[in-house]
Amino acid sequence: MTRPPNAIDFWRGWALVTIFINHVPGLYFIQFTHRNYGFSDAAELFVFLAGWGLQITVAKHVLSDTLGQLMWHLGRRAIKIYAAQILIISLAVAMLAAASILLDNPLLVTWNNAEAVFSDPVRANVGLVALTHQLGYFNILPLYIVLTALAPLIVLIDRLAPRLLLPASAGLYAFALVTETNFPTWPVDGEWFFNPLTWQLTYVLGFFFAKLVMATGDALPWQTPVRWVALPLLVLSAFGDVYGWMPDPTTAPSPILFFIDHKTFESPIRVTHLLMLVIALSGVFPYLARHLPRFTSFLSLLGRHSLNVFCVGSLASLAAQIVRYTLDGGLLVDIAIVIAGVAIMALTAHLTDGPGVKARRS
Amino acid sequence: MRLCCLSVGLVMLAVAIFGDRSSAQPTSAGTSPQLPPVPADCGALASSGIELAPLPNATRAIKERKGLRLLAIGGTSVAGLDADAMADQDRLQQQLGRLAPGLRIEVVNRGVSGELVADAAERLKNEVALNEPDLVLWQVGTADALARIPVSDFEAALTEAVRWLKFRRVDVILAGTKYSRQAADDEDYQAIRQSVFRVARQENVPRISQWQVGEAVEKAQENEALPADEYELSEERSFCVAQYVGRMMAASIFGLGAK
Repeated sequence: MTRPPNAIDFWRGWALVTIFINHVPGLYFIQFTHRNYGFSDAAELFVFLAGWGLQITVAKHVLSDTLGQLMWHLGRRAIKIYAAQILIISLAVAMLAAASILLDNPLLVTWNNAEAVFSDPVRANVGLVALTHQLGYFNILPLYIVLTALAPLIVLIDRLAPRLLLPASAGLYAFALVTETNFPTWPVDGEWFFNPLTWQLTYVLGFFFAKLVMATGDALPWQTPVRWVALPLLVLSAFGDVYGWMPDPTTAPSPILFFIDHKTFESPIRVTHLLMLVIALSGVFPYLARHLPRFTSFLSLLGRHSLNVFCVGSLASLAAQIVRYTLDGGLLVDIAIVIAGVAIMALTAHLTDGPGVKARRS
Repeated sequence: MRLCCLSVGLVMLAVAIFGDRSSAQPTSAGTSPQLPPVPADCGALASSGIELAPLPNATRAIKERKGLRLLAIGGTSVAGLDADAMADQDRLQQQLGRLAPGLRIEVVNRGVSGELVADAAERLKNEVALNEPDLVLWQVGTADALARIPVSDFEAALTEAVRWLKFRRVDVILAGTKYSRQAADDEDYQAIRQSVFRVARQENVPRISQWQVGEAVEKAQENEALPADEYELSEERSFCVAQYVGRMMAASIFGLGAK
C-alpha cells in the first residue's frame, strides 16, 4: 500500500524537480532554484534525505529482520541503483548519438563528457561500468551507489558503537578536506564531481538526524530556538550569494577547503547551510499540507518513487537540452520543457504506484 | 596537492638535443630549436586562427621554478583537446621540454563537460586557489552556444573571469568554440564564437580558434582519396588543436613561431 504524503517524500520530490531544472543549462527557471540563494543546492537535500531514508528502512526492518537480512536488503538496494545507473547512461549515450545523427551535428556527441565514449570506446566503456567515467549531469547516482554500498557499514557501526558513527564520518570528511583526496576518473583524467569521501557526511547526517527525530517523536527540543538562529543566517547567506559577498577563495587560509564554497568536496559552508535549511523548513510541511494539499500530494508522489523518477528525470533533462538547442531556446520553449519534464516524472511515479498497488489495496 | 593530480617526469629527449644544459630556461633566439612542423593532416591554419599574447606568469614560472602548472578547465574537459588527456599532457611535455630542458609540466584537469562559462567562472576561482596554476587553458563557448546562452551574458561572465585571473597573476589561453559544418549558419553559435575573439583581444590574452582549426582539418581532408567522416574528423581536430596549443605556449614563452 502506498504511504500517505509526508515531509520526507515531499522534500525529496522538491529536490527531484529542482535537479531536473538545474540539469538543463540555460533554462530560464534555473535562476529561481534555491542554489541561487545560498550555498547548498538540491543535490545536498537529495543526499541528506537519502540518509534519512536509510534510517527509516532500518527502523522498518529492525523488528522483523535479523542483522544479516538487513545487510542483504541494503546490499540489494546498492545493486539496484547500480543497475539503474548503467541503464540510464546507456540510454543517454544512445540519445546523444541519435540526436547527432538526426540533426547531422557531430558536436552533440561531445556533449556532457560523452566524447570519450565515441572516440575512445574501449577504455570509456570500461570506465562507464566501473563508474570512473561519468557523463555530465549523470554523476549523482555514482555517488549514491557508493553511499548505498557503504550503508551496511554505517548501520553496523550505528548498531555496535552508535557514538562512533558521527566522529568517524566527520573524521573521514576532515581527512579528505585536508589532503584534498578524491576519487580519480578514467580514462578522462580528472576527479569525481561528487566526492564520496566528503559527501558521505551529508548522508550520515541525514541518517543521524532521522534517528534523533524518530527517538524524540517528530520534534527535537532545541529545534525552535535553533530555527530562530538559522532563519536570519539563511537570509544573510541568500543576500551574500546574490551580491557575491563570499571572500575571494585565493585569500582563504589553509586548509583551503574548510573555508571556501566547493561543491565537489561538499565544503563545511555547504553542509552548514543545508542543516540550517533543514531546521528552518522542518515545520513547513504540515502547514503546506493543510493549505496546499494537492501540491504536497504531488511532490510526495514524486518523492515516494525517487529512484525511478530521478532516472527518468535525468533522461528528460538531457532530452530537454537537445530540444533547447534544436529550437533555439526561449521562454516559451523553457515553459514547455518544465511542464513536459515534470509531467513525465509524475507519470513515472504514477506508473510505479501502478495498478498493482491498487490491486493489492482492493 | 591532490593525489589525483598527475605529475609528469622530465623528458630526457631534450637533454639529448641540448647536451649538458641542466637548468630549465627558455633558450635564447640564437640557439633555440624549431618545433617539428604541424602534421599535414591539420591543414593550413588561417593567420586569424591563433592570436598570441604574452604569458608573463608562465614564463616566470619556467624561469624560476623550472616548472609549469597548467589548469585545464571549461565546458569540455582537456579530453576535448585530445581524445586522450594523458597524451595531451605528454604532448605538451614533449613540445615544451625540447625548448627548456628539465622543464616539468603538470596538467591538472578540472574540466566539467557541458558546464557554462558562468558556472565555470565561479568554480575557476576555487580551482585556482586549490591548485595555484601558472596558466589556465580554458576551452570556452561550445557549451554556452549549444545551451543558447545570450551572448551578452556569456561575454560579461568570460570577461570578468579573465580579468580576475589576470589580477591574480594567472595567465590564460582561450580555446574558442568547436567546429561543426552545421553550425556555420547558426547565428547564435557564431555570435558566441565572435565573442571569444572579442574578449581575447580586449583583454590581451592568447586565443586559439578551434573553429578555424576544424575548418583547416576539413579542407585538408578534401584531397584525401578516402575522406574521413565528421566523427573521425572530430578526433583529428582535437589532435590538431592540441598541437597548436603547445605551439602557442612555445611562441609566447620562448618566442618561437606558433605555426
